[in-house]
Amino acid sequence: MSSQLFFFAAMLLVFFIPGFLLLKALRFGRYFSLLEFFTVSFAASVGITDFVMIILGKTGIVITKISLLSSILILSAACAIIIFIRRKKNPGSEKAKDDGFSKRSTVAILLLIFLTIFIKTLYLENSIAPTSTDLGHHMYWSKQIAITGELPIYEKTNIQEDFTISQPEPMADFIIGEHLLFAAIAVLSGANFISSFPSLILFLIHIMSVIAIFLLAREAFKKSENRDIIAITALFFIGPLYALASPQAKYVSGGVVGNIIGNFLIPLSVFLFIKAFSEKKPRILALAIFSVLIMAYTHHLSTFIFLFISLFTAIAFIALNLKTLRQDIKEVLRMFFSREIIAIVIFALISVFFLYTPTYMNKEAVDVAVGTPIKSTRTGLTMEQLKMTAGEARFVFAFFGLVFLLFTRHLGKYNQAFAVGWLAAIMMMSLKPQWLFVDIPTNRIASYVVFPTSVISAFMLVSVFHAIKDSDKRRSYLKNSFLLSTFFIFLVFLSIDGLRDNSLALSSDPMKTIKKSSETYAASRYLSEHSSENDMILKDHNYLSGDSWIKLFFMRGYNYPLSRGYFKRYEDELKPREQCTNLMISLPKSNDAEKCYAGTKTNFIMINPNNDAAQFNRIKNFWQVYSSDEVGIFYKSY
Amino acid sequence: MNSKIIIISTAVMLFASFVFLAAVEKKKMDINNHDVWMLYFVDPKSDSLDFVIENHSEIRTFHWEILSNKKKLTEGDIASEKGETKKIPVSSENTEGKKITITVTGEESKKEIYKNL
Repeated sequence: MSSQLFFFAAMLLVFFIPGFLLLKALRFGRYFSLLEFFTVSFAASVGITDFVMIILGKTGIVITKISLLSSILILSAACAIIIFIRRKKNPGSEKAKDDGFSKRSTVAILLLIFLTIFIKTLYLENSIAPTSTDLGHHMYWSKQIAITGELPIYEKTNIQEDFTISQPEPMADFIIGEHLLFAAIAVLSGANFISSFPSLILFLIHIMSVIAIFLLAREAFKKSENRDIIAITALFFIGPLYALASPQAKYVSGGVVGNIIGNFLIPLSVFLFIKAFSEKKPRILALAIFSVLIMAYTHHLSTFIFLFISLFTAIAFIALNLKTLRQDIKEVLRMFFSREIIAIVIFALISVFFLYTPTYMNKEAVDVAVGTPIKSTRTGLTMEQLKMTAGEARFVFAFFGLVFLLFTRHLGKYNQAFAVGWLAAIMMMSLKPQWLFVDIPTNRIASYVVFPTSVISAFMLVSVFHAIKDSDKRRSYLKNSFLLSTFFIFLVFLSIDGLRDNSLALSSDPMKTIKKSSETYAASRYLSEHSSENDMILKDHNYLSGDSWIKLFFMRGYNYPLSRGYFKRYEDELKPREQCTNLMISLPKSNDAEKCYAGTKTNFIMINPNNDAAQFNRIKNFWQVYSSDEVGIFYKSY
Repeated sequence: MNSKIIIISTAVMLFASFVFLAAVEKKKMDINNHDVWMLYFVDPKSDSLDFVIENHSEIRTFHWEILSNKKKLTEGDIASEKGETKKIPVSSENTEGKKITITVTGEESKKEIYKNL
């Protein structure tokens, strides 16, 4: 019970308090409604925690409970004092903007949030146990920060051509912002990494992204008389409907950390940019840039996609506002050359070039992501595949909504450009990546399409509804009853499609995976107690469950233990890789396997005995030293 | 005012969800709920033949046998409650050059470990 209290207290400290107080101290409260401010504060807290930990790490201060807690508390206390003094001098000067929600809207929002949390909780009930591969990989780095108190050096060893293990080499796959938050929670609360806590953090961030989508829809269609209905409908399409499939609850249980955080920061950044430009507030623009900076420190793909969203938004803006373009550019430039923007840009430049450069900011990593795609998984989806990714019904409405948006007036030029640019960018990157020289697995890009489709399909559906409602005022060739039933058919179509999508995401036998994983962890505990740095372990990824978490029991390097990957990887002609990890398990008696054993000094093998024990039972110098239903450990006696 | 209601209600719902999920995870990850038992050597690297039965199942009695090159050397029964770890010492005398296999049976299930000494 006390551990749970510490966990929740740590969450408040990391995700809510510092951002809330800093933004209040900087007088941001007056620009936002309370719900908006709460959501923006969450992002700011994430950024503050990241930068506090980076600064601690870079200045040589060990990240411990005391150093981290005091850093956050000193910063928060300083902000609180500023707020207190200002309030004393000028009481009531910083009232939040009126949110303008009617009672009926509030009830609808609460109901939808309840359904959203309820459905996702039901799904997570079966997948909350820490078993997913991605999360295991990420938590290794977070645990390393927590136990060493230092920023991690992202590097790994490889098996070389002479069968020996190389010295650690840098890797650009991971970004520091993906790991600092989890490390902070573990350092402050003492939470165990192999527990529900990482998934709960992801769940929290995911719910915040749902709220961010709602706020964005409300901001994007601020000038529409149906603003709240559009936002509530968007909440319906992103909350209870299509609640589970990628990139929603499935990404939470799958531990797709960077995407989950990116999926919060992208809509929030779009929200802030729209608000900044339409209200002509450089301070909000500075906050938007800070949000993008946090994204850059957290997830390369989200940042890359955001760059394309910005590009397409600029193109859409130019195309839709040719007549007033000169004046508009002047206005935008005036905002960009304000004190606030110059300050935040200088902060960003110092951070990136002098404080901590994200691992992916190098020529090799850029070369990997930019170029003409060759692999079939990177050459784009068909329209049919994209439709399935976005949710069939939602996509159909969004597609028509995109066309409708282009011809709609009075939405506000920035709002319209961002809405068009956001969806158009992701559609183009998913359907024709070669046109944009994007060389990234297309299904990863396409997963981002669900957010703009939710907003724009909501806009489309409400526009249809609005047309029906107003049809008596205009000349109509169709009866109201017919139009009304058409609307409800659309709604039922969307709901059934969304709920069917939910049902498809349900796992068939989650308990089996959990049982297998807990056996893997028990075996890992045994091996960690009976082996040393001089021993080398090889485990199998094909038939063991939860195997990416094994490294957390040892903490002897990212690639420790060695791993036999998926079989198809050993046959990939475009990306040849070492064969040792496969041979040492699949054909342990072969000459090459013997060389691999000698070169890598592997002496423990961890496999599923139902699939891989037979080949070891036949070899004399392999002893079976551990046996459970799903895990067998062999020791090679030299 | 309505924003406040939304924020507080969301926080309460999330809190309830988190408490529930944490409890579910704790229960599901408790190995005693998975009806499983393990057999392993106390020291996997040395010639020691002492072994351990770690019981997380409903089985209460285990039967063990020690075989040298498939020939039974000795056997015994041991009682074990759920969550218990029982260590059984085995003499390593006269085992050089032989394959020593430990076989343990618990109701329907059977597991074995071995060393080629």
